[in-house]
Amino acid sequence: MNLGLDLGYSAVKAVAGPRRMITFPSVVGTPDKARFSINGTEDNIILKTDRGTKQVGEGAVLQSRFQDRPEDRAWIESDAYHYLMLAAFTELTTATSCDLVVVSGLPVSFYSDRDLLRDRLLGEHRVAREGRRAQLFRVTDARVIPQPFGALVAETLNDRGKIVDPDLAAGVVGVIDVGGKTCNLLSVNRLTEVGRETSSVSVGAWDAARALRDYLTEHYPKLSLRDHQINDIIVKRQMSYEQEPVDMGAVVDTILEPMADQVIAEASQLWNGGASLDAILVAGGGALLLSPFLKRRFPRLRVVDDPVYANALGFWRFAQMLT
Amino acid sequence: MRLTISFTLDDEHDYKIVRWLRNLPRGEKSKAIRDALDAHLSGNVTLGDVYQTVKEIERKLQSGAFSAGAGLVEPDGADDFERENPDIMDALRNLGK
Repeated sequence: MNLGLDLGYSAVKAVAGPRRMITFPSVVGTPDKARFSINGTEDNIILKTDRGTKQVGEGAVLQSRFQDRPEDRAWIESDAYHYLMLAAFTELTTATSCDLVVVSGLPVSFYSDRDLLRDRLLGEHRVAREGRRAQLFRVTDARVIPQPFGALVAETLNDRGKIVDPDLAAGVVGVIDVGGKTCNLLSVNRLTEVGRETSSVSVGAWDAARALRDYLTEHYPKLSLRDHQINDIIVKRQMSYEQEPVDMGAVVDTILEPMADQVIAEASQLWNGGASLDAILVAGGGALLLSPFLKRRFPRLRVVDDPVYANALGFWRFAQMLT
Repeated sequence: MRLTISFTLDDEHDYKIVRWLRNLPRGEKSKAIRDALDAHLSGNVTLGDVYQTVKEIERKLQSGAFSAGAGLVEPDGADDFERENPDIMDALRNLGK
């Protein structure tokens, strides 16, 4: 099975086919469970390996007493990374034995760690997920590419790994990948990275969520919202307080605009205004949030299809081309 | 009267539905399922259907999948492109090596 794995700081996205896409929060925690559950626990990912037992994803967010959220570059060497990877595998298949070709990515600024990550991916991985039979995954081949390449490849190749957009493949393309904690800027000429025009900015969608949470804590102290509710307010630009609708558009703009300005400043400097680029693509979980602001500076910019999954989908299509 | 109805999904065959259900906010699953079933039974075309179709057409137009006087064609110029641009294909195949 070919698998595209986009293990981000805020969420894991993985693709193993056009209709096989999964995502869950990049959170690993202790395997604590609710004593009562109305909805059942079938969505919980509790994994047992030779390193211990951990809960992963939404279940860990809701129920784990101790959580591990990734924050730094050394994360790819951690146990938490290993559990997230295994959780993605078990989400995509229930097979008890499975050979995998995995394509994954790293932020452009950490790309020199690719051999380290490749070695972590390759080989045999055994795991027992609660409620299932034990599974053995053999990763027979692994490639690690710069993360934003995924979105470009997703737009350039089809599901069979064939070129469907020759203009993109042969052109000079800028990619802005707005992740949870970083924003990667990649420039590509004829599908070859232009190193001097590639960089990253330390802003992401979670910065917006954190800023809004701070604002709400100060102005609406009675509110206690979960992460997804904060994200909903940013997307809908509206919330409800004491059963009254509150327009949050101006507040959201105040948060997003300076973030977009940082990205624009870096992209303008790297790409000399962008006039020589044939296309500018925007991908990632924060693409829809920042694109209206980025368009003011780069009117030709376009958000890729399904921007949240674009990198993982591109990784999978790349694997399809290789095999 | 309130009814509770269970149904079965295959985690591989019904992956799209499973993914959609998992991504719904807690407490909003039942309403979303009711709305989807209602739209299906009414034969309504949803805004989501229109959006998906428009995106598909847009993508095919961009990839040159339509040609004048012809119907839908697979972008099998891909093989020609690969033959005529070996440097690009090499760059792609060696990505991450």
